[in-house]
Amino acid sequence: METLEYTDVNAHIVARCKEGDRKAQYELYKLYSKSMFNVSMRITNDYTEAEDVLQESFLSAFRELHTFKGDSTFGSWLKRIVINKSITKVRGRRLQVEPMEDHQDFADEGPDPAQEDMDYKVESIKKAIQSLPDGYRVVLTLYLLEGYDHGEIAEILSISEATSKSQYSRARKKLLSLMQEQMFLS
Amino acid sequence: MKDKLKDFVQDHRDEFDSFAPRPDLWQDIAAELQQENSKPMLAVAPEPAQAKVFSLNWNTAFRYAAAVAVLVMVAFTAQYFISNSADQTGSVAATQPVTLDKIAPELRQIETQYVQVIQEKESELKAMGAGDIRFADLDSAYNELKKELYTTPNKEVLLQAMSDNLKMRIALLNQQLEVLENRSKEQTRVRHETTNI
Repeated sequence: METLEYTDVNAHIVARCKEGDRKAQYELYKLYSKSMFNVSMRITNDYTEAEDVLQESFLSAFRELHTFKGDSTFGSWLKRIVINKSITKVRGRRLQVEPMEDHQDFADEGPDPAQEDMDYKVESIKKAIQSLPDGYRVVLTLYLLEGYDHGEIAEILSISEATSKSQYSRARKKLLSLMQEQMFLS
Repeated sequence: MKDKLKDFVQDHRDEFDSFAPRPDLWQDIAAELQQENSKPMLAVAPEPAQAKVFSLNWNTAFRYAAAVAVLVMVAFTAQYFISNSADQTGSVAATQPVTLDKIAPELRQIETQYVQVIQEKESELKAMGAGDIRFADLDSAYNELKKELYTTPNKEVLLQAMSDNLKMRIALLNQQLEVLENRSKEQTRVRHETTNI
């Protein structure tokens, strides 16, 4: 998450961007493109779509910059744009091809103590996230990695807070079992 | 409620941002912004020709003089902005226009050599009914390396890593091909056996 010191550093770059200063726009791009690309990559799970999202997001951020009032950091404002556009992509895709995927229901068994105590590794978490179904992956990454709470996730996805919570706990369970599978396979 | 997974992820947050977009994506964004800008800029420029006969009365003369002065000022500022914005894009473009061809002429050879093999393998795989093949991790790594080429003092190491990256794809594709071939062999064998019974 962006720290508060960032606000001041970026405030004058943002002001220059509002005047259409191309160098200032490039500054912001350099600062944020990588992290924003990863945000989109986690939601869309698709390299090409994530690049499209990144491009569209920066374009609309610069176009709509006059609506940015500075009540949050530029980074978190931009991140919401990226997330919204990424979700739109995922939803559009789901309508197109795979109506089946999210209907898998996982048995609601209690937490497996062996799963809870496993040694976490960044690589295996990343891999497991990539193999989660869309609906699980979006809620899980918004909560675990992008730092939103369930109230905010509910607002972003227009679902209820309770749905966000239960979706997260199922996604988390599925993630742990995927990681365990990986361990056995390797 | 304690969430060990969340704690772990928060502690290693930076390691999760491992992907990178292609290095020339900014050029596309800048080009599109430029296009949008140039339209309203031109709309400011028109200056209607003043060819009307007017009576010489000091009061009206003043008004016309003021109007002409305003027009001249508008024209100058418009010109200033147009040339200024042209300058800016020039310098932004100048942040990256050193072509890779100049820095590492070998790269083109490496790329054409491997990319051709990769494409052949991919189409072979497609023909065997495999789905889309994606190398997101390798793509990111490759793009990062390519970006570093602009600044590295040690070109050879980078180029080696880049060709290793491409070789790795070929190895992966070969593996996948082998798997599919074995599977189809297996299937035909099973079919033969069942028909024998």
